[in-house]
Amino acid sequence: VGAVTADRGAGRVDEVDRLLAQRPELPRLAGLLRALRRGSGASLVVSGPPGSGRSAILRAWEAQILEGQGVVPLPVAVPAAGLGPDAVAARMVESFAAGCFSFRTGAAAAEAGPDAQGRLGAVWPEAALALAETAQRLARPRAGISPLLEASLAPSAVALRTGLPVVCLVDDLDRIADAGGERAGGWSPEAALSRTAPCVFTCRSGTSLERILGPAAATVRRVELGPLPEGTALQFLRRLVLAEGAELGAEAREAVLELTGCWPQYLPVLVRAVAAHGAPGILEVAREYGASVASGELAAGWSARLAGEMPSRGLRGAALDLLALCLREGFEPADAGRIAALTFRGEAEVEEALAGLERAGVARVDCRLVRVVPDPVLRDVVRALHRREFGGARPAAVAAAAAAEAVRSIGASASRRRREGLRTALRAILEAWDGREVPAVLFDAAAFAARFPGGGGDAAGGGLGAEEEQVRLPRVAAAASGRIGVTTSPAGLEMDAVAWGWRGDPGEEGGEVAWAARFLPGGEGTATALREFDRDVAALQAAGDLPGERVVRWAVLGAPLDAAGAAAAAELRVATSTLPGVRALAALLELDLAVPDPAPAAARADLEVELTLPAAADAELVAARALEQIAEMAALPEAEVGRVRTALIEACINAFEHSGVPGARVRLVFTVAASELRIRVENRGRPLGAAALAAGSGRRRGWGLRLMRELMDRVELEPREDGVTLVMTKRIASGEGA
Amino acid sequence: MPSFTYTSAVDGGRAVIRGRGYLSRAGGEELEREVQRLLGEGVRSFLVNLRDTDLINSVGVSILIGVIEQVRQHGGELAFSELTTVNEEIFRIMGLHRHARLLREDGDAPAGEVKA
Repeated sequence: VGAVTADRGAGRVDEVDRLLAQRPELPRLAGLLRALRRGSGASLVVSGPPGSGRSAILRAWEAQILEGQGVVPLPVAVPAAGLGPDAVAARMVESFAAGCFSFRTGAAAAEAGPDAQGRLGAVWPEAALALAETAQRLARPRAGISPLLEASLAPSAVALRTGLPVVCLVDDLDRIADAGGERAGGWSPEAALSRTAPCVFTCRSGTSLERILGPAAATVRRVELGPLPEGTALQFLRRLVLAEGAELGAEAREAVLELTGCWPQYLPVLVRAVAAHGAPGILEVAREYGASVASGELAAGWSARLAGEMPSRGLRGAALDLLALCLREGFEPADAGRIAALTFRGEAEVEEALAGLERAGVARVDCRLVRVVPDPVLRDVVRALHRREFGGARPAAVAAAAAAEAVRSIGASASRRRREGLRTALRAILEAWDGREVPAVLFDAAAFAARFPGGGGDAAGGGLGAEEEQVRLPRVAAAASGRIGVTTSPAGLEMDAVAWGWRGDPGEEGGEVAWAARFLPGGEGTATALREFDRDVAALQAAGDLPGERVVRWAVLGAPLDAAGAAAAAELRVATSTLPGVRALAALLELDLAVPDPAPAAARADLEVELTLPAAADAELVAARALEQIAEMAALPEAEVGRVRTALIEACINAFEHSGVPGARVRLVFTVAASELRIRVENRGRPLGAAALAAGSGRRRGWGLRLMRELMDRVELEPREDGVTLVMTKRIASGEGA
Repeated sequence: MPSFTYTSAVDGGRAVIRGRGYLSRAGGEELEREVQRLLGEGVRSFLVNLRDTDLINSVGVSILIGVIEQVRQHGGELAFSELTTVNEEIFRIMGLHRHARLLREDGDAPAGEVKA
């Protein structure tokens, strides 16, 4: 008996096989098999949907037949693709020899070594001769004949010559045929069937037997299996994954993907299973994820938590599998990209990287310089997404979403750090209040703007005198930042700083006072934000988290008040200060403090993001999406974003085309300065030739550089020894994005 | 930014093709095949609506130029409608407006549809 397993190998999942073989159709199929072995029945084709148990039934039959005959299986694992005839023959000989030794000596298959064929010859010359001839034939394949199909039939041919009773079991006939090409040349399926033995094939539902077997298809009996009962399939899936050990093998992965394609409801199970064998710590998170999928929601926090559990490349590989499954499950590319970005690059990692850069002196304390170079993790994601090519055209979209998310998280992280820097400064200022008097204009942004139309940068340098109207600051006992109170709703009750103290002497009856400070970006919408601020303070007062009587609302503004904001501040009696005013206050208090601006418009200066892309189809979309995020952080007008995006796409395509090395990568560096956005595109490979540089010279190519020059303010080419660097610049006009 | 997809419908002898996504080489070639198919069926009037085509590259546009030429060789005409601002700018830089009309709306009258 020869059993050929096309892609999964035999004997690795015996328990699963037994499980799957318990199908209601089995008794009937067993009857057909018995008839076949008696020579009174036609060859069988067992077809069914993926995961319906076709292969398991075949393996169960194999064991059943061999058990009855007192012989052992002769497994030949033929990979679905990628091996030439020589390798197929060698593998077949090795496997066959191993099985023969087991049969003859009863020893374990491990006894078979490199000299297995030689030893086989000593004990079973006929089999060795047949194998040698088969190997010889396979090494000189006839044109158009599938070597894999030849190999699949060879064991039974050998068995025939050696006189063994034989039924040829061929798993995944359709895949073997697909891998080996169309039937052609002199191969005759009828002859193949007749010269070997009765066959039992398996194939997927819908497979055209006529295509593979030709007229011989009419001589076989086809049995279609129904879908497997859910409970059985569930167990199969879990055990299949777990049976593969620490690394989910490519074959199992393919099988699992195939299965989950049929049964989407098993995704949570698969996630748990992968998590269980890959990283026990992920299990809990995966359960939550499974629950969120079951309830139809994507739990917002699960992927972020998952990120912390993915420290190694092996686990990242598992994560990519999860991502593939997300795609198969119909997640939107943006969601899948977000999962990828968070999985591979958690916020904690970004924070840690920034802290390291600060320590190294690369980033300043106020985090205005965010430099993330290189970005190997994101590079890996993008490359892996393209390499795997799952989901058809989706890899680029997913990679693009991942890149955009990564860039966004860089910006958000920087913004948070700047906000934290402002909070630290505000706390220090409040803690320095000791009852002294300071100019009242520092707490009236409208008056401050009128007094210092240039922005107030000189206010701290002696611009405010003792003749100013003064206000007395309280004596502050303590200051804090963050969420205030435990009895109120957590939403919207964050304060950038809160101080408690006394208007006069500490402890004086009725003299308690509090200041609540919140940063507002300023500009349009400030009036609404001021009212929200007022409501939040009132809620804290009502809950007893702030004193009920005397709480000063202090809005720290990132931009001057507009008319509506000034009116709202006056109506609500909110103290307002611009950042220059706060800096002036710090100077008056003799505090040496950095008072950073957390607002994106002010934070756009000195942002640098690096992205490495594979020279692959549609990879330019990744750059485009990253650019969109960067442009938003740079407050680039929408019309300009479209122009820069098109220029960037042209630059990427050019770089891809001139990266003459397989697996080449293109390095992009986006730099946002106060007045410009600069993009460097570096490729390695052939230098750009004159034809490529000639603007608009070709019918289909050659327009790229012309477009770049039309759409950007400046385009420069810097040839290098190993490639070209293209630098494009777009000016950001003053006032844009303010 | 999904890959390029399109829908195609023929009404009153005019084919309206609506593109969506990223018009690159692959998308341009798909669109070219569709126009060739319709030419084979005798259609001579084409309107390509690019309202939802948010991204175009020069290779895709170059293929469109070839498509226009093919339609003209069959005695037909092809117009584009509802281009985004930047896509229209690209068309003008590459000279497409000299070969095909650029309409603001699908139903614009011939006399007033060309964007200045």
